[in-house]
Amino acid sequence: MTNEVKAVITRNLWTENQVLRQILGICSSLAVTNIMINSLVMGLGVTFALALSGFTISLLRNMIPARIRMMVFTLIIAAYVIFVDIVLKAQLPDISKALGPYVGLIITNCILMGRMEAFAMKSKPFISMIDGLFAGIGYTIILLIISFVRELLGFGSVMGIKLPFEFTKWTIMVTPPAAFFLLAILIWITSNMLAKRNNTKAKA
Amino acid sequence: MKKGYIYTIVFMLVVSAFFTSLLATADLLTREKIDENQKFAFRKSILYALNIPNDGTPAGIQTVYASQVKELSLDGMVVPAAIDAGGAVTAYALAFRGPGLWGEIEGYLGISADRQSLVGIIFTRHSETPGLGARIDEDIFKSQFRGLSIVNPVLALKSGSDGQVDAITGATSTSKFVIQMINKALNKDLQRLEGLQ
Repeated sequence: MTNEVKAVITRNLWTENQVLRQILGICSSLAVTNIMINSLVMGLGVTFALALSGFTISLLRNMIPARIRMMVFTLIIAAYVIFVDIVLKAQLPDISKALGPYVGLIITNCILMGRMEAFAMKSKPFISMIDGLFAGIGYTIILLIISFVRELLGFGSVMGIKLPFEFTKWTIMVTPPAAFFLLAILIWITSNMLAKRNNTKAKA
Repeated sequence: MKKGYIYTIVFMLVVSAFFTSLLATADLLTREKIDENQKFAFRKSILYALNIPNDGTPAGIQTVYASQVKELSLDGMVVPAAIDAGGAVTAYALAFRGPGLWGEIEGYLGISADRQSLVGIIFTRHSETPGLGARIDEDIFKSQFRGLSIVNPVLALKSGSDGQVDAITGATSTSKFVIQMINKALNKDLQRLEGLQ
């Protein structure tokens, strides 16, 4: 793997993680993280749309007129997302019903527009696809962490499998406020971790 | 200017046409499957509300629905009805809808042919909180309605010694809304079901 690819991967998974560091894609991080399976499917949908949109827009990057580039981004992102929505409705109708309108809302997810504008417009197709792919994977990991806590404490299950022992469920974990402060705690912890690492690097 | 107005317009038209046709193709290819899925979900719900046993598989449900359910019509509203071997109606599935806490709640009430008791209930659409209001989908809540008498057609939540239906803990509003909309549907349509064949 070339250095460029490695750098893109590390950036998107950790140092410039879309949710924790760029603070993008927050709406869906709060909305679908009550159950792990929903987060997983959402994350896969976003990753798919990001990778393909990145690739397509990078292919067209020299042909897109600058003044309408946002419109073109939205068009192409929307096409891929609607495709995901159609496939879900046909093949996984139960999950499609559970996710409801949130799949369509991937189109408005800031991460996609952000990556297109910041990276895909200026880079070659293959690396843009890698960038989109790992931006999506980084996003999915964060969603899975939050939903793991929420589902465990709110429903007493992990990925739908109930735990073998009983305990009083934290119902607040099922409601949106829990997502807010869990995300805030996660951002706080990871910011500290990264700050410490930067400090040790600077001292060395 | 390197990219003039004409280029911009043509570019947008071409890109739009290309991606729209891609989506139209995908839609065409999956339309049948999606319609099937929706029919399956609808039939499964009706069979549950009418308390007709089935094996839960698409093929099984299609067979059972075809032989044991007849779709009647009441002023343009579709009223699926359970029929016995002779073709006589044994229960009606009455549609109801009303406001919930977060959005509309829709469903069907299974009503016995003599209109004296409920056969079952199913919720086909709602946006209630998972783990709280959404528990109206759970069997524990729905099975309460099987066999419930509606001779006095106003249902009430249990409080003290009155009422027939247990509310859901932590979902008082949703429970109240559900009872309200059931009573409204019974009030409006129960009499009209008389003699419907």
